[in-house]
Amino acid sequence: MLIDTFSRFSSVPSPPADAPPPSPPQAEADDDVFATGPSEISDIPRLQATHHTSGYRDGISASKAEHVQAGFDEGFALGAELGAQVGWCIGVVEGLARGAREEDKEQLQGEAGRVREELDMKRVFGREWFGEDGVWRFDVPGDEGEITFREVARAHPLVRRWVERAKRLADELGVDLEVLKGEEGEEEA
Amino acid sequence: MDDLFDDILNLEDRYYEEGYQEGVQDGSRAGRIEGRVFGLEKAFEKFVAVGALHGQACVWAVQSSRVVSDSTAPASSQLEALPSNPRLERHITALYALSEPESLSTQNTEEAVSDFDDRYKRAISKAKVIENIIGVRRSANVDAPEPTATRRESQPVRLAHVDPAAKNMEDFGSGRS
Repeated sequence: MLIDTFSRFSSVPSPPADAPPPSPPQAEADDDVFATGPSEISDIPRLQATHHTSGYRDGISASKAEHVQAGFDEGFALGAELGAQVGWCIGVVEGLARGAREEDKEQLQGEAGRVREELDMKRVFGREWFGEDGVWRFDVPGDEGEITFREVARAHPLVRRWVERAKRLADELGVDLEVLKGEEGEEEA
Repeated sequence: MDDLFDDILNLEDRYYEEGYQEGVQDGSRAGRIEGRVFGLEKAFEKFVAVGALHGQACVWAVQSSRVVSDSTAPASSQLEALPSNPRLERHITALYALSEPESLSTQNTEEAVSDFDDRYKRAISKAKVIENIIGVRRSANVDAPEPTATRRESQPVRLAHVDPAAKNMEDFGSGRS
C-alpha cells in the first residue's frame, strides 16, 4: 500500500546504535589516552557510530527536502492521467445508472457500485500495479523512453477493464458516448 | 599530544562525512519516492472528480433531445430522455468542454493548476444547474471534493525547495525494472 511506502521513507532509518558519546579518558590513563586497553577498543566503534549517525541524519534531511518536490511533480502528472480515466469510467457508469429506465436500473446501479469500489484509489495504486517506489509494474506497450503518462494510464489493467466495460454498457443501451466530440471543433473521421 | 588530538578530530569529521554522504544518497531516493507517491494520490483525486463530470456529460448529451434528434444514428438510446430545452443542451455542451481531460494540463505548475481549479469550479456549478433543470441530484459522493473552499486557491503544490537540477524524469519514466 502506498501509505507503507510513505511511512517507510519518511522516517529516518534507525541509527546503527544508540551509542553514548565517547567516554572521557579514564583518569588512570591520563598520561596516554590512547594506550592499548579495553577502553580504546570499545571507544573507536562508538565514536564512529555516533558521528556517522549524526552525519547520516543531516545528510538525509538535507537531500530529502530537495527531492520531494521533483518527485511530487512526476507523480502528479501520472496521477492526473489515471484519475481522468478512472473518473470518466465512474461518471459514465453512474450516468447510465441515473438515466436508465426502470427495467435496467437495478443492473446498472450494481455496476455503478462496482466501478467505485474497483477503481478506488487504494486498488488502482495497489501493490499489484505499483511498486513501493511509486513506479508502475504493469506492461505498457510501446518503446520504453517514449511512452507518455497517458499511455501508461491507459495500460493500467483495472483502468483498461473498466473503460471497456463502460463503453460496452453504453453500447448495449444505444448510447453514443462521443456524440459531443464534434462540438469542440475536433475533426471527426 | 596535539597531533593525537587532531587525529581524533579528523576521525570524527571523517565518520561524520561518511555518514553524511550515505544520508544524501538515501535521502534523495527517499525524498523523490515520497513526493512521487504523494503526487500520484493528490492528482488522482483531483482528476477523478473532473473526469467523473466529463463522463456524466457524455451520458447527458445523449439523453438531451437535440443531440438525439440530430444524430445520424437513430434515437435508439434506451435511457430516459431529458426534457427538450435548448438552454439545457447548451449547459451540457459547456460542461462537456469544461471537464474535458484532453484539454486539461496535468502539470503541477501555477498556470495549469489555476486553469484546472477555475474549470473545475465552473464545471461543478454547470452540473448543479443541469441537475436543477432536470430535477435529479447526483449522489453526494460525486460532488466531493468541493472546489478549493478551505484550501488556498489555485496554487500548485510546493512541498519544499526545488532544486532545478533534480527535476528530471529519468527515474520515473524509464527507470522501471
